[in-house]
Amino acid sequence: MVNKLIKEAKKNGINLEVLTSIKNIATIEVLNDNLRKFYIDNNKTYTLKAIYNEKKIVLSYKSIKDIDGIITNIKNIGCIIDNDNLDRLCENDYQNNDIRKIEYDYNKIKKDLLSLNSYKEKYPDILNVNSIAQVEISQTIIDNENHHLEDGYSCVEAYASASMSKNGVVKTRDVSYYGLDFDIDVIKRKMDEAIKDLELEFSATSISTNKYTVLLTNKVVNSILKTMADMFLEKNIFMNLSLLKGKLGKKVFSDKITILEEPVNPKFIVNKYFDREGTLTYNKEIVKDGVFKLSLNNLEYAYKSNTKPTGNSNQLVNYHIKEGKCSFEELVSKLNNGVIIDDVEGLHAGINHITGDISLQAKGKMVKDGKIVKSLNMIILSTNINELLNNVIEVGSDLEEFDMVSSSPSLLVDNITISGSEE
Amino acid sequence: MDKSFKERILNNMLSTGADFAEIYEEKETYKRYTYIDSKLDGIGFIQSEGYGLRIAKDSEVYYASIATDDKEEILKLSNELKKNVNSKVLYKDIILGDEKKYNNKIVIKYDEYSEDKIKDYLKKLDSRIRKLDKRIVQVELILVEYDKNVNISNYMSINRSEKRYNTRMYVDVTFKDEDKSAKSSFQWGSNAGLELLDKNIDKELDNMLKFGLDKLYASKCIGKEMPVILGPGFGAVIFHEACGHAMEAEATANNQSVLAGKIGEKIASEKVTIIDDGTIDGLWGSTKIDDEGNYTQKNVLIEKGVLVSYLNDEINDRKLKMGITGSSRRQDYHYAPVSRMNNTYLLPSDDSIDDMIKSIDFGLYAMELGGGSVNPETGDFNFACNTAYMIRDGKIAECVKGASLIGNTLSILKNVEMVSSDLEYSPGFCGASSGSIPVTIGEPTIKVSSILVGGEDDGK
Repeated sequence: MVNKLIKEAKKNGINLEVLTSIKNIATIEVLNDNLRKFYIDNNKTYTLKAIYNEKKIVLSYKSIKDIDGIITNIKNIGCIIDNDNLDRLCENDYQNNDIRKIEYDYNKIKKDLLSLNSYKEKYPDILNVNSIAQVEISQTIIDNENHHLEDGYSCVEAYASASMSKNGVVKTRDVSYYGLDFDIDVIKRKMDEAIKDLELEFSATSISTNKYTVLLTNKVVNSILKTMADMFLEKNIFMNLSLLKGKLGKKVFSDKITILEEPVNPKFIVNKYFDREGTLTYNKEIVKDGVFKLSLNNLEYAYKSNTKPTGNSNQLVNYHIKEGKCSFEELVSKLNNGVIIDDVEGLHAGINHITGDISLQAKGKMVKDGKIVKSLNMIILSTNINELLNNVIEVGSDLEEFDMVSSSPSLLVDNITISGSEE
Repeated sequence: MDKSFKERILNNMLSTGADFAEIYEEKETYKRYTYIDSKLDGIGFIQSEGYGLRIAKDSEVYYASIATDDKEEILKLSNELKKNVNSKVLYKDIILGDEKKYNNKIVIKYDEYSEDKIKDYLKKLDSRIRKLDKRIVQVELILVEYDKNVNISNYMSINRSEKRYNTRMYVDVTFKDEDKSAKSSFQWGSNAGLELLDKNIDKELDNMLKFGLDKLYASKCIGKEMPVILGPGFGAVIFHEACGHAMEAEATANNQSVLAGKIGEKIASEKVTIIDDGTIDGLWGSTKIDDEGNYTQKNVLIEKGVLVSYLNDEINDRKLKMGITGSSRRQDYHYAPVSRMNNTYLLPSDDSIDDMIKSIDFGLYAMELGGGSVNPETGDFNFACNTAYMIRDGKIAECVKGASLIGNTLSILKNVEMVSSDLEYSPGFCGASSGSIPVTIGEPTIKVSSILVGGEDDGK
């Protein structure tokens, strides 16, 4: 059907490329000792990239049976839009014959999630243990008149949270998991730590608004860097929508900061060998020793900026700050007196992508003389991405993968404002 | 899918003892015009069609979605689903009622305006905005048209359809002056057609320009607990986050809400009466039926500070036994529905905005709010303010950079001190376990006696 559509389009003067995305997603949710939901989503989407009338047209369909209707739609749109013909179809072929395939046992995953209810039995103050595991099996195929690319992956993302109630006050902590296969032991190890934090939270206080030396855990750094990833896109730089406009080749962050994208590094759980336009991906340095070295392109903006496409059409894969040499414990020791931030909320609204301003609800711990002395909540991390990455004192060695987009180490950062309600 | 095949599927899904079965059928066309750099850069187009099959046994829910109308594939999927239940068969021989059809009221259908006419509208708007100030370096205009047909057929013989239109315009303007930059935005949307483009936006453009320039030279916000005035319309994000999500049966029925078990208790100040109403004509979050096929309704959630109702869907109401409220919603057929908000607003009162400002020695006037999030179980919530001014000695003072405001449901609702009469509604999207859905939030200007605001130390 795809080839027939491409041929019919060609007869009508349309150069067409079809990206077929097949996703099979299973989601299992458990609350305490009950299965809450078991969802299966079988999803096939055709994304069409057409060059017609010297314009690029992108459309998405669940079915491509109505070939005449699709061709009419492409022609109508191609006659009205103004985009420059700076795009082209892919000129690569690729076949991944080494896709790591896992036979997922959903019943076992369900039983493993139900086993987390043991925390409720072990800790009488625990109100709820909620957990979700999502298995994704994905296949991507790109076809145009002369080229064919095919790749796929599978992975599991999971999340578990525990809530605890004391004297009518409820506190929660959550952990996340990402892997090729599901591993309940990793989740349990993280939950053990989370429950210790949870118990500490009942004595948590806010702090007074001030500048602090701050240790951001890898989870927090990952959340911020992932949200800010679009600042590196050439499209946003070109459109005046990135704070890195005019900064290519200049020092923008601390020389401790090197930022990489490694879509084809086998040490990561998922590798992606081509992007959504069929550009072959490669490992690259975006920022090296604080200097902004490379903006990320799709085909159109590579042409507009007279650079090579970087394989970043609509995606970043295994994007991360290069890890340092200090373990998390060594970072705590170096922090000596300051604040650990181990949880942030409100990322979709609390980060300004144009200015880089960051204002996020946070939780954490106060450290005095290298030791954790109390838990903190009702505090706000108030900074700017430039300030944050310029004030880095040390980068941790604890690089952790959180999903296929990004990974992070922890960062020790000087002179960052934390807002709080204490006088 | 024809009626007899739906009946076959429903009966098949119930044949192993499920006590709930539902078929959700959806066809959607989504069109997005993007006008940026003074050009119609693209017209995005998505056409989708799919089915969601849902069965339940007590509170356990099994759901599968599929994007084909191939009957054999759908039957196969229903066979897979029913394997999850093995119980005494309670229901047999479902006979669906005649299909009842409902439509949005729409004046100008999408096909009544040519793409040329829409392009011309966007071009003129772009030109009008760029002429406002030379510090405007980018204008992005987005017009989105959603045209969705849904049918819900279920084990209770419900067979109801609705055609839903939702239209929305976004205006994002970037200001730059040397190394300073700021963004000012506004948007409007409705479950109407292209009559939306006839709206007079003079006031919105004036505000966009003033706020954009003020933000370009804004100072850093002072961070501490302080009284805050929240502007009308999107200011209601405080209620959406602080109590709306905590009233959804998905949380309350499972003891995962700070408001679970608190019906009849006074949880807010007397000034607070909050309503969620999916029936208001023209509002962005309105539908005639919810995504379980039940009729939407006006639900009073908090009345003069007393919690009176939750938002209940059928599955979760099996535990609550309070009655369903027509609040079950989903983004599309990939998601099973759960209880969600439609159009949530605070009733107006008669306090004057001048009196609110005069009553504050040091505080914040948050003119434009952004999104937020909440943990319904603890009640801890946050929301962002995009445009704000400090209040000093009872007067509006300098513009400050955006900041997050954070609080807890149980304390913040009691801190609502003053409520004005200028009720406004704002459209937005709300994300949760059943996806991203259109919702409206509304409120008049209010004064909250104390919220923690993110920002710098004021040296005091």
